[in-house]
Amino acid sequence: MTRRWWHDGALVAALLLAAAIAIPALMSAAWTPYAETALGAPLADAGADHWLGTDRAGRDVLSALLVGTRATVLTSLFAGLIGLLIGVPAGVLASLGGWPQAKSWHSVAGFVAPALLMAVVLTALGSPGLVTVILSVALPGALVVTEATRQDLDRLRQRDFVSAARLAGLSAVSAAQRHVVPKLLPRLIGLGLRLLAAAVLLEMTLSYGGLGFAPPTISLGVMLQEAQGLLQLKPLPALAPGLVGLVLALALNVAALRLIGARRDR
Amino acid sequence: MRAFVLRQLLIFAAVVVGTALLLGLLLDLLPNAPNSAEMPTWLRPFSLLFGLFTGEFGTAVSQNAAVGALIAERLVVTLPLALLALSLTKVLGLGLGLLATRGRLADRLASAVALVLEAVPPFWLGMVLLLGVALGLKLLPAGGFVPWSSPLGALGSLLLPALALGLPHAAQTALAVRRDFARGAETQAVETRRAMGDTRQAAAWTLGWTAVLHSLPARLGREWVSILAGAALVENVFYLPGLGRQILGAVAVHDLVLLRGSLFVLIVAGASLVLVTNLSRLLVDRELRK
Repeated sequence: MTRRWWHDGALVAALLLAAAIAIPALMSAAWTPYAETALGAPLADAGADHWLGTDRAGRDVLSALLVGTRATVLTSLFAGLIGLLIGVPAGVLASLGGWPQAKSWHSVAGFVAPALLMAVVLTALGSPGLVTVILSVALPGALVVTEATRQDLDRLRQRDFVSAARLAGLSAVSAAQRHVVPKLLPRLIGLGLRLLAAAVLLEMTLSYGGLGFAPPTISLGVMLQEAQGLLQLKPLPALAPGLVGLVLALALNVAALRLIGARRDR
Repeated sequence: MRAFVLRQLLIFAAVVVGTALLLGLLLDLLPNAPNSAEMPTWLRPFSLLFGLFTGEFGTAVSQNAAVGALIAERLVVTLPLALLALSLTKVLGLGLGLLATRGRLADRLASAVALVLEAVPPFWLGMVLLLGVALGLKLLPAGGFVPWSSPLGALGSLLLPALALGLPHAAQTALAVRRDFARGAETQAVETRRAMGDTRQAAAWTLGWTAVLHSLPARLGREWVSILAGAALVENVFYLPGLGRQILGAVAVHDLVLLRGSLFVLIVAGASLVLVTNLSRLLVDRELRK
């Protein structure tokens, strides 16, 4: 490996951008501009006191945004990890076992429909918001990860340098350690980042539709749902959470693309 | 060919019957499950299937109305909305994609737009469009649905929501078109066609279109499913009385009969068009027709 990952300017910039959103959000556990329960004048405009104004109850929108982003990011991290923990071993097994290919799972973006369907059924069955969001992201996500891992591994295992290593006397395990894992790892990390981006967007979508978190929990999706009624009067509380989710997902996707390489589909 | 058609029909039937049984069973397990009293117990999981033919899906407690009628009056909003979104996806996507084959700058621009749109949930795009176009420029209605008795008014109220649903897919389509054209130009077939007297450009053009047509059915099916699912939330943004919004509402008030019927009809609508697009592969794929 001649080029280290930190030599890739776009990758570093994307990761820094994601961190610039995630770190203040995570720190909101300790500090926010206003306490979550502090009430000011309701529906104040953006200004020096409240950078993004206040909501109907008089809570500071910026503080809510930090807390909400934290909830969204943590939930997405957890759901993404579950997706990887199920999907990667399943993909390895599928590749080694030569299981038939599932054609329909093409991209991370493709699982919006199954996720929504799962969320509707789970919510109807009375599952709490956190569980609904995590399951609806993690299970379809695990299928996408399985298929992607399997395809990458299939392609790698056919490469000449792997056969050469085996012919040179390396055992299957050491050949995998030396030649397959180092190539597979950046792709898996990229896949994880894409899953994380999709999870952020799905949390927003599900909670907005009443299928995920619900007040008094604050998340990006809940904020969007609450801003809906006053959208035309006060656009900022609706625009800000969406923009945070957009920039975060965009940064994660760009980082993933740089890791996976120029082939942006699949 | 017969095997292919039979396979597609079987998959469709399996999806419809499977969903009906699953929805029937799952929601029957609940403590406050709706009971369809007139039916013998062993037939009850099949009641949704019968509903497809009779239009009987029970009574919605929350609205005190027949579910079949409620679904029908919502479908006339959701289906046109999704079809409009799908056509916008194709028209805008093809246009952008062809533009992207025209040079490096256009190509870069299309990629950037696609990357951004991939990170935008359609419903939020709807909010932004609504704020920008409907309020800022006062061009289109800012929500609500004008009934079909005034066709232009109805289309006007569907245009912005359809744009919100279609734009993200249009960007993906543009990338696919560009890729298909690039791939067509790389193959040996270009040389073959040139040997037969085509210019390089004409050969690349024909091959590009063939590749685009070939991938069209599969893409259409996937986009349709994704648009139908996303429509629920976009309808919510624009206060459109659509089927998806009815499903979200039914979840919120825990009206299981309404939820089950609406969800089932929505899934059947999704599966039907996927069946049609899959069968339309026969039109573009000569191998399959044998």
